[in-house]
Amino acid sequence: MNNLERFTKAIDWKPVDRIMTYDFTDSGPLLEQLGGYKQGHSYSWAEIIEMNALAWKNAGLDVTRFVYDPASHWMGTKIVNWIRFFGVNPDNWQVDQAGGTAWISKRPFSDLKGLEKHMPQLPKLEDVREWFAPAIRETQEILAEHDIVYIGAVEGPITDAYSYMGMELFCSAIYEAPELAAHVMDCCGKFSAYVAQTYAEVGQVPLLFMGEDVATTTGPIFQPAWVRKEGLPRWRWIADPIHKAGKKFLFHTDGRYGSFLPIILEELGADGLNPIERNGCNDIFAIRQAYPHKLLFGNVCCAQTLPYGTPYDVEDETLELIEKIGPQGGIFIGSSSEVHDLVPVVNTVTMYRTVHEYGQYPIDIDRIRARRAALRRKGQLRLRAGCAM
Amino acid sequence: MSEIEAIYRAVVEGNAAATKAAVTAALSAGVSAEAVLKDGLIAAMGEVGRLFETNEYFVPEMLVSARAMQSALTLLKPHLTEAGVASAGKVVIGTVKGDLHDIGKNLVAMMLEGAGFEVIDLGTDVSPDKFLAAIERHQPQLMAMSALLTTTMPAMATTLEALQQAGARSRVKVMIGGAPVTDEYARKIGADGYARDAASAVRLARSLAEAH
Repeated sequence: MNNLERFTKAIDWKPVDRIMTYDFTDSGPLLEQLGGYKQGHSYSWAEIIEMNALAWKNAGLDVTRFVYDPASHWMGTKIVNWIRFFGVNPDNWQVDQAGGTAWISKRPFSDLKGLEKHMPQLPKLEDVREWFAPAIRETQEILAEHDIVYIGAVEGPITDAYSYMGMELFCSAIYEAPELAAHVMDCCGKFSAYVAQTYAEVGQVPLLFMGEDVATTTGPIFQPAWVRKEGLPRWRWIADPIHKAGKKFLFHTDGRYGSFLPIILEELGADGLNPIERNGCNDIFAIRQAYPHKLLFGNVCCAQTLPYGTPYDVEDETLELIEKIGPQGGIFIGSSSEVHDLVPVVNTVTMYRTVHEYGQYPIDIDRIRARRAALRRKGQLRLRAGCAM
Repeated sequence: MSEIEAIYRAVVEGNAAATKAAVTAALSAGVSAEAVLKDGLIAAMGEVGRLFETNEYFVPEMLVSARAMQSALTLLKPHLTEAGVASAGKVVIGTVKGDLHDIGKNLVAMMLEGAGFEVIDLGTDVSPDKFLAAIERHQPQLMAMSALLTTTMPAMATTLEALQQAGARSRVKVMIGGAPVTDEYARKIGADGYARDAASAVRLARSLAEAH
């Protein structure tokens, strides 16, 4: 059974031979040490995909949504898409990159009057399909040769809209010019819906991921009622073509899901969640209890355990997920959000190898408990990431 | 409705035009600049903070209220200077080196201004040297650092070490915050306090300023 066959069955809750690993990796050390990437060299897109695939294969990662190119941050790609598909002014955008992240530091507008002169236009399905279909095919084909499953990923309309406008201007527009905010969300939502439709048409992988950051570690960024009114209908534009094609839909927000869970999992009907941050944000075990038929992707803590814990800490947290959720299925184990530069490669490898070693069905609970007890007896655990609802 | 009540209501509702109009009307009616600031703007922002903490207000509501307050402060500042009204304290704030995120930091800065603090905002990607230079130049009671990323959070410790080495650490109280930051981390690196959000940052700043 290859990983695509295994993944297709696993997300459909059918019996498989083992738990799979899933992650978003944007770690330079991982790509360099296990993928052969060298800083300062220039690579083609196909070479970048190959090196990521090699790194993932060597680390033990089965499924991902993102190909990491250290030389080109995805924030810049967003602007390219707005220019190409929304017909917006290509001048006066600037992206600053630092600390493994990027930020739009300059836009052609800075207030609502300026925004009115730089409103995006609704994208066209044909344009989006023509551009994305070959890229989706190429990426999935190269990764399939390495037995890596590449799920599709799109941005949510709220997140894309506040990226376009800037958070402060977006927040002002919600109150002072709601029609402008709505139009930008329409353009972003339609764009993601067309990318989703393209995935549904050409993608081999039966799951699409939508990233919609509407929460922080302390709670919602926006009024949940506003998100329900403005986000939910546009999320349906994206989820519907995926569900109609018989595929699954995965929802992402950073931070605490909290009061958004019923909107996401019940009203929208999302099939699962990723990431599921720890660090005092979410309790994956409580989520499984409340929503036993939803897919969970995660969640070894990438804020504490992965960067600062020992390999034994990582092993224990991974084993707990296998022990408590593994037997029920519907769990794909990886970091709580991402494998970033501060995560030692040995910890990443430990996480995935623990899944491969202990995640074989039927799960041997006694063996896992014995191993966890041994780790405690030997005093080898020093760090524990918190869970909270 | 009194002039002060009109200011209070306009700020809580996030109506910048109404806030400016109400402040202008209050000053014309002879209400003191200090009363406009303390009983109008600061009291209103206190209510906004309370609404945020009780999950009735969220980031957009807090931002529009803070902007309304800021627009009024611009009008009010010359009157405050003339009347010799002292600020609640001086705060140097910035997002640490390597981190370009500014929304959380901006919210904290606006809420601190709304609480009567003088805020010197150093922006994002602020190096330890830049924090140090700002302390030397502005002599603040407080320094506030923000980090959104796990990968940039260690820059808080680096900055504190730089302050220590330069002999400036004892001159300022240091507060930190941001998504990956915890109270435990604040204690570990020797910061004076951690705030989980902009509303609690105001409370922390007040208590640190009193202790300074």
